[in-house]
Amino acid sequence: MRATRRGFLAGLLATGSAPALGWAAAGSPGYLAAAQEPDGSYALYGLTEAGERVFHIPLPARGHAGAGHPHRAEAVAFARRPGRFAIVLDCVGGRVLHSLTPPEGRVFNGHGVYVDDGATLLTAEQRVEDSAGRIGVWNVAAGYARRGEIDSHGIGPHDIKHLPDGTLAIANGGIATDVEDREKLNIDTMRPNLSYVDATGALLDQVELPRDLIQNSIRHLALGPDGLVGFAMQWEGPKSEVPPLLGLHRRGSAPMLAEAGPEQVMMQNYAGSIAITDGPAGAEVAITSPRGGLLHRYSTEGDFLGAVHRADICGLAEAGDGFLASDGLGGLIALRGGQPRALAKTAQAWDNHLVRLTPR
Amino acid sequence: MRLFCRLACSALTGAVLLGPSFGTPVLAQTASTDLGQSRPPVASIAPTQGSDTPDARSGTAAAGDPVVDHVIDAVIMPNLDAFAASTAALAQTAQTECLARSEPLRAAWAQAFDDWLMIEDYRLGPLEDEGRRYAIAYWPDAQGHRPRALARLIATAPAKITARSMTTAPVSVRGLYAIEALLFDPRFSNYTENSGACAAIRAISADLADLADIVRDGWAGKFGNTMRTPGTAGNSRFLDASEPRQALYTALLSSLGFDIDERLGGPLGTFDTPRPKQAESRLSERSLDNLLGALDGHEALALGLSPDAPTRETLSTAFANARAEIAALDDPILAGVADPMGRFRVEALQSSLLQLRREIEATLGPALGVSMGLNSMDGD
Repeated sequence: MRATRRGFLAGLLATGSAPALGWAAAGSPGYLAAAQEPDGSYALYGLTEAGERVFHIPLPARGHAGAGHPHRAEAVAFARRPGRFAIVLDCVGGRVLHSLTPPEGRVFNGHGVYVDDGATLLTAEQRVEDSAGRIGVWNVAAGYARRGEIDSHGIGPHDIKHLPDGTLAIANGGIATDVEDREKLNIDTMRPNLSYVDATGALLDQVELPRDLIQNSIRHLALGPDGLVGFAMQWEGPKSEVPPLLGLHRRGSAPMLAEAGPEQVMMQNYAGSIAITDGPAGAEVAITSPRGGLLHRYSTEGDFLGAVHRADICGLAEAGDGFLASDGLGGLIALRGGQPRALAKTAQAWDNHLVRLTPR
Repeated sequence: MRLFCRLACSALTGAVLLGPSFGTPVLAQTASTDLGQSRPPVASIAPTQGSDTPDARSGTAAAGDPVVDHVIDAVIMPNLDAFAASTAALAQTAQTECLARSEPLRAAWAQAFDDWLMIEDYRLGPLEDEGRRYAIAYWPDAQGHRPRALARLIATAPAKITARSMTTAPVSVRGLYAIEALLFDPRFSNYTENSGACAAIRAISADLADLADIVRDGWAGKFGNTMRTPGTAGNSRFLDASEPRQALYTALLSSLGFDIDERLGGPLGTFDTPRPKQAESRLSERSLDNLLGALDGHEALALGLSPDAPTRETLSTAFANARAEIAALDDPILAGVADPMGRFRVEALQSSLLQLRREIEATLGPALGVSMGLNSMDGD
């Protein structure tokens, strides 16, 4: 069962494929976002930093997250977990270029990321029988052929980020799920972690939470300056507890958890997205809680900076020295130094995430 | 080693290093940008009819919404005024009557509690900022934080227990339920004049009255204005006229969900492990009365939000049916959950509240043009 160790770095950019158009041809979007249309159907949108919708492509079902190719106007949209499919979209022509199906015994489990300058796509997956985490490796140049997989070193991986040095950071949420109905099977014994993995799948570093926080599922990641990795959590433990939902880590240092004092309880023990930005006055980390209708800002040292209120807010990404946020009421909000500014109120209800096309 | 803030134990802020133990720093006010709404925990709503609001960027003022203006003026503000008045009266009474057996004190507390049940639905804005709803009404306390923290508090020198010191105390020893424990829990209620408990009753009551004033002033001022002026420049909390309606509608459903899941679901537990001692206000024997009071609050808000007479009539009938179910249950502290027959009746009551929720969703949601939405309903 050992994952193949054929490295994803071995891939080379396609040389024989047809010339593909760049993102400018798709209206130069900065972000991808899944949405629900007013008629109940679903679509993937390209958005600019100003909140303009520059393209949209219908999706066959509710999407969760996407990943954008670094050069070509090509995006992967993932179904909600446990996902049996992902589709690769031509964001200029609106065509489905490829349909990705995980191999027998695997399901997609959330996010994915392009690496190797777009030659390789990595997907968070889990083994059906026990939710053991795998990272699927797909050869983009070969028409998204499955090349193999590596171990995620945990249960139920959800988000993956690619650090500038080539290391992968993987949020292993720790939750084993029934692949049919998402029922959580191991809440009493779950053990999430943040794993750093190299291209061969070797574990370089792993952060676990202290014993009384092991029911805090590490689900989403953001990259900051100097190797900083922010992780956002979702609490599966007793409702009467109010744990921190933000973690900050650099390899080689102790991880740090941050919380917001009396405001903390308003997050409803749930952080849906995380992003890090340079900030007008120093780097900032933000996490969103759609359940609390709340965004919390922190310094990269973990100091609470303040709250911004917005119903159903969830999608979040860095934008300039601030953030772009989206919500299920159709709001697209710019934030700078904690000051929100409405960019648009759209007919679309924005789903969980905003994915930046040119990540840090 | 304490690794994170257990809200009920102490108030912490800032960063927590994994590893070395740390103290329990007390926190100051947190910065909060008063531009958006603190959303209630359960429901999310999205516009039923999709159409872009072109004015969001130009800052053109949207017309005020008569439904929202009406519910704030005719329902929310009077109820907030009543809660501010009864908590002030409670604080006043506690100055002269601090003992648990004092009937005037118990009556003043009960009135404040009744008035709280009329405003607990306003789960947005001033009641949510800085976690005030929890400071006023921290319940359920499933982990049993309150008795431990309260024992610590009343062991403090009386002179050090003040309204000011309460502002940084754990929420489990603040608010209505902490006073209830001092008045009715035999572990605490046997205190004397000049005791820590006596000082605590006075301090908690004064702190509670301050909280009530802050919440009322917030609705009368900045937050109320924000809600009344959706779509205006700088209002990123309410981008168009549908959003304040949605926020209030969601608050209503969340609060009704609290009755179903906590007020009834808590003591019901599971068939094999019912938890009759988790009934709210069991020692003051108000469990069922609280449910009735909560229903009054929901009805006032629901009818206040109803934009037309047919909606009001339909909802009045639905509330009357639910109220009749509650009134028919001859079990004031829900003790029956522990035996099969009594349990069956409490479950039937829970079902009638679920039915009420469905009727509100079917009637009021469409009447207001709002429906359930995406992100806060189910996560990932």
